[in-house]
Amino acid sequence: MPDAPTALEPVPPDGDLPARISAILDRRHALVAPVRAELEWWQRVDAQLTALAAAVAVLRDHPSTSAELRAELAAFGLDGRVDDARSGVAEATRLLRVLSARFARGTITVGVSGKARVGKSTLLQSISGLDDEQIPTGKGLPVTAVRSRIRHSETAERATLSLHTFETFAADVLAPHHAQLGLPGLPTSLEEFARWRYPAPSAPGEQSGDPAAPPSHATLLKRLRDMQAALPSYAGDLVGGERELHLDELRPYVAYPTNAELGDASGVSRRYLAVRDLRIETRFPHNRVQRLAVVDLPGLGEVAVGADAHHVEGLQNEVDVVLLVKRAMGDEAYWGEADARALDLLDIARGFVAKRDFVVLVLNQGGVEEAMATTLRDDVTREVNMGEPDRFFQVVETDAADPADVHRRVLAPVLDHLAARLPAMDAEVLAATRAQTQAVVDRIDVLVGDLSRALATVRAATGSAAEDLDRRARRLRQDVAAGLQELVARLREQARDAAEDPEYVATVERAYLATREWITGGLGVGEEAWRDEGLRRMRVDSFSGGYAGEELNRVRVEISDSFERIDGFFTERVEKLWTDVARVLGTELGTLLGDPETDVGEGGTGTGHDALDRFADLLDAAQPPCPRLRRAVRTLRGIRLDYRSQLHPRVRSELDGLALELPDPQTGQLRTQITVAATAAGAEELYRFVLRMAEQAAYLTQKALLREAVTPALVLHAAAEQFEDTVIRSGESEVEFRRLADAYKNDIWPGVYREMDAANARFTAVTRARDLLVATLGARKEDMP
Amino acid sequence: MIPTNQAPAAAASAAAAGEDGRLVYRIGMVGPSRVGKTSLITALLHDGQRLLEGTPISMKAVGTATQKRLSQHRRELDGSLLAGEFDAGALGGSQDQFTFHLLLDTGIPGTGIELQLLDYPGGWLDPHTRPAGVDAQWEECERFLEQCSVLVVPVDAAVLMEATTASHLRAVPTVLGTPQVTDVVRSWLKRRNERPDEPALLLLCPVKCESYFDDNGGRRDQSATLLQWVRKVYRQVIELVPNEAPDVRSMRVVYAPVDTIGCVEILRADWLPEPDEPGALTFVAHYGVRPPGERSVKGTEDIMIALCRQLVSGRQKVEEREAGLRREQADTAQTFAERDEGFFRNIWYLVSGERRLRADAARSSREEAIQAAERARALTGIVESLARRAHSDRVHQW
Repeated sequence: MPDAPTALEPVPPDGDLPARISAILDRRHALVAPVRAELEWWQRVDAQLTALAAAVAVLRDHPSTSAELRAELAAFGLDGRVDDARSGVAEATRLLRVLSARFARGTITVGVSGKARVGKSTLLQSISGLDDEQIPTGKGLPVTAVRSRIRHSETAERATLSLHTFETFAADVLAPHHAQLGLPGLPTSLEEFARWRYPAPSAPGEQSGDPAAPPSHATLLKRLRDMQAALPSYAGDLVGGERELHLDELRPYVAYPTNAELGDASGVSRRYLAVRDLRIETRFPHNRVQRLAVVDLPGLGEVAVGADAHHVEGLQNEVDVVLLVKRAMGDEAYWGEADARALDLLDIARGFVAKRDFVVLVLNQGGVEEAMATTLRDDVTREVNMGEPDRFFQVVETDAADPADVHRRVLAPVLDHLAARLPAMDAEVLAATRAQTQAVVDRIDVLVGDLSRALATVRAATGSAAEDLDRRARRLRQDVAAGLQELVARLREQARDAAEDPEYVATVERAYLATREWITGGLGVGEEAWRDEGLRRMRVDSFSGGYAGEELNRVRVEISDSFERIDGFFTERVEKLWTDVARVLGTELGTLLGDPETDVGEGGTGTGHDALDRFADLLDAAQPPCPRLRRAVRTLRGIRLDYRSQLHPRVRSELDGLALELPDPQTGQLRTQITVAATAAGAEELYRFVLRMAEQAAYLTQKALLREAVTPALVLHAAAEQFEDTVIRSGESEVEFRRLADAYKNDIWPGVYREMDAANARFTAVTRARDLLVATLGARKEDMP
Repeated sequence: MIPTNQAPAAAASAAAAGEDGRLVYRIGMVGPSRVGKTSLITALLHDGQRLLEGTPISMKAVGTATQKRLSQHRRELDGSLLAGEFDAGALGGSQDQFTFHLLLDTGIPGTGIELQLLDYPGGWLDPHTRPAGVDAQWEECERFLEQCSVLVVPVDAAVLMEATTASHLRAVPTVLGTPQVTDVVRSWLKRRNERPDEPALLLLCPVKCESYFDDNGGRRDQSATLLQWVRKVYRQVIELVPNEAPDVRSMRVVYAPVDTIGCVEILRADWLPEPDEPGALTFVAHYGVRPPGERSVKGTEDIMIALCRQLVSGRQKVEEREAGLRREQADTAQTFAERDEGFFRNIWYLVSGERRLRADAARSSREEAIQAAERARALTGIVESLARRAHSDRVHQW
């Protein structure tokens, strides 16, 4: 627990005070780094919380987000609570900035506040040793126009002005006036401001143009117009940056125009308007404490835009203690309403510092009649301290114009008090700030916990995209297997159960009839021509064997070729198999092979073999590729079913009869089948013979082909079964289906993964933001001072 | 002399005394129209004559009707052979019930063995296709068939071998009439089972087999396929034998394919839709004649061998019985034989006829009597000789 505040009494010179103050300031300074680290931590939390809020908003608002998740987010009221948390972070950040500013101060800083004309400047002059040139005082009109910060320096005697640019002037000075007065727009340049048309102010106390406007508006408007009128006096100073001056040169920048000046027809100078801030370094006359600064705070209760807030902010950030100056003025010697309001403001400004430690009431009794001084003292005791001196606030009396008195009765006791109390005050501020920020952390912890539970519910139900892809790849393989098995079963039935393929039989019969037609139509040349040619040849050869042999050979070849007509059937059957397989694949592969109903096969724009070739290429192009599946597809595409290669070897022997000489089956000796005379009758006999042999050979070929009626179906079944076996049961099948699924998931399941990826990205953005925040929150526990 | 009055006319036994007292050996045939029954008989006669060349015994058609029928068939066939090709359907099928009479002739009246083979329109087998008003004739046919100890089932080999598509195969039972054939065989077997001591012979005779063997001018041997098909298509018929005639001690099932013409081979076969019966097909085979177009029957010898074995077997049974009855009077034996009314009785007539001829020859010492006795002995010798011959490779027995 901090030490209890003590009453301020005039204290004898304490040779140890400067060292104590210095030690306090050093210890305090050591806290700056951790506080700034904490501040940075909070800035990180703020950024992460902002990112989390944004991610949650995106997730919640996206149309594809499940109603379930939406409900979860709504149930936890996450978005509203995120906003609350961010407010908490902002407050924590503000508190830490205050703390940081407090600890970073290299001086004990005493703020001097009070209404105008109570002797603040006089008090400051007494403390700092400066005169009217730097801290104007006067009678009647307010004189101090610029808030100054005066620091004791053993060596330097200088003033540093921080100047506005027009932009900062417009933003800090003009904009609040415009806003307060409800004036639209804002000048963007000096010239524009110079030409800006402001309404004419009504006389103080009179009704202004706007009946609803408060009386202060007239004052503000007049002030604004005065600023505009005096622009030439300070336009040259709106240059930004800092300007170092000798202390003798300072007055034009810090003092309001005097009454005389206001009456000067040549124009009023208001250079103070260009000054943002003033720092003065000078040697304090009666101060033994080296590291001391005093701040001249603008007059409380002044009619100035944002004056109160500005005042509080300044107090919080810059001062360790405030001297609130009060003086009996005229016949007023009481604690008035304006004084009470000033105290209220200070109560806000003190933050976590005990009010007794933060505010010291200074009764400036210099030049005040004793009766009035007593009256004021008594009234302050009654009104502020409830009749008990120094009960709530410490009250000191001094003659502000007497530097020795000020030092003895004000500065020395205050410094002594601070030397005793500052460590405890700092500890209080630190503890309170920590408590405040910890509450925010706790709130964020709860929020993150709730958010995590909400997300976990949904994540458990949906699983990851990779798991989903695994599942879909397995299902794809199963479905392709089912489709292929159905196809294979159908082909098996055709190959084994059905005795023959009626279309094959019809095709063979058509080929046979065409062949017979060719035979009976005169063996391709016509009977008469054949006989004529035969007769000529036989006469030339003097025997029939040459012509007969050649013709039998020719007819044999012709008949064999003639049955190639059935190749059309085979081509159709093989293409049908490819189409059927492509459709099975296409049905399960989404749009990868095109639309299975419209793009492949009958009525489609592509063929089964096109689709399979495309599939093989896709399997090859997948990363990593699917070589086993590709080989299976290529093998299926490689099947050949044609008369010449499949059936001709099996029926070729039926054409053996079409030869002039045949081996005797009993003896093995060659036997000439026919010999005719080289006459017309012989030619006719030979024609009849060749015709008969051709007809028989064609018939036997047909018969043999019909006996093979099941062969095409067997070949197709075997090819499909082999394909199905390789695709589904090979050792690599499962792995390659997973690869296929991975490589072409957006084609196989259009939209699913693009949306799932996007949905997952949205989800992941939330979890990542959450995780970052959790990590940051966890890190705080280790890093906090 | 074989007594002429011993034959009870319609009580057609498998072997009965003929008009002049000769042995009548009745053989049943069962098969649909145009299966080739007439061709088979023609082939049997043709080849029988070849077999008996150089012996005192000849084979001939007996009776004007048989001679005319066979002559007509022969003419038709010869015409086709001359034309170089023919359709199986071009040979006229039997329109009426007809009994062929073939005689193993010794030249001595009252001797010899007469083969009676009943041919009838194949359509009669099927009640659906049997014409009205022929019931009595069909009953007579059935009686004839049931009382034969030999039943020949001619099978058109081309129908089996040229069926390649499912529709062809579906048509095969109808074209070959296998259900009706099966019914007749079943009935025949039941009757055989009533005479368990009599030898019985079921002959499955694929006909028109020229295109499927390479031992008679053909180029390729498809005999195994043919046998396979017969087994398959007639499986039920074959399986009936042990089931319907389990008691018959000497039952033989002989598969004997026959080249009924020999010099032809199939050029093509058509399975034509039946205009009146949707789904039904008619089979028409087109044959070409192999140069030089000379008829070359093959396989009938196996039939003859089977028939002779049947006769020899019957004779042995009769002689064994006679030995047992030696002490009794011949009349007693005759009474016994007549009571039996079957194959044995007829064989007994044959045996006793021969015995009488020998007795007459010994008693009279006349040239005619001696010659008659020798001719009878020669016939017996030839029958026994044929019975002793081995079947060709074509034959299978079950």
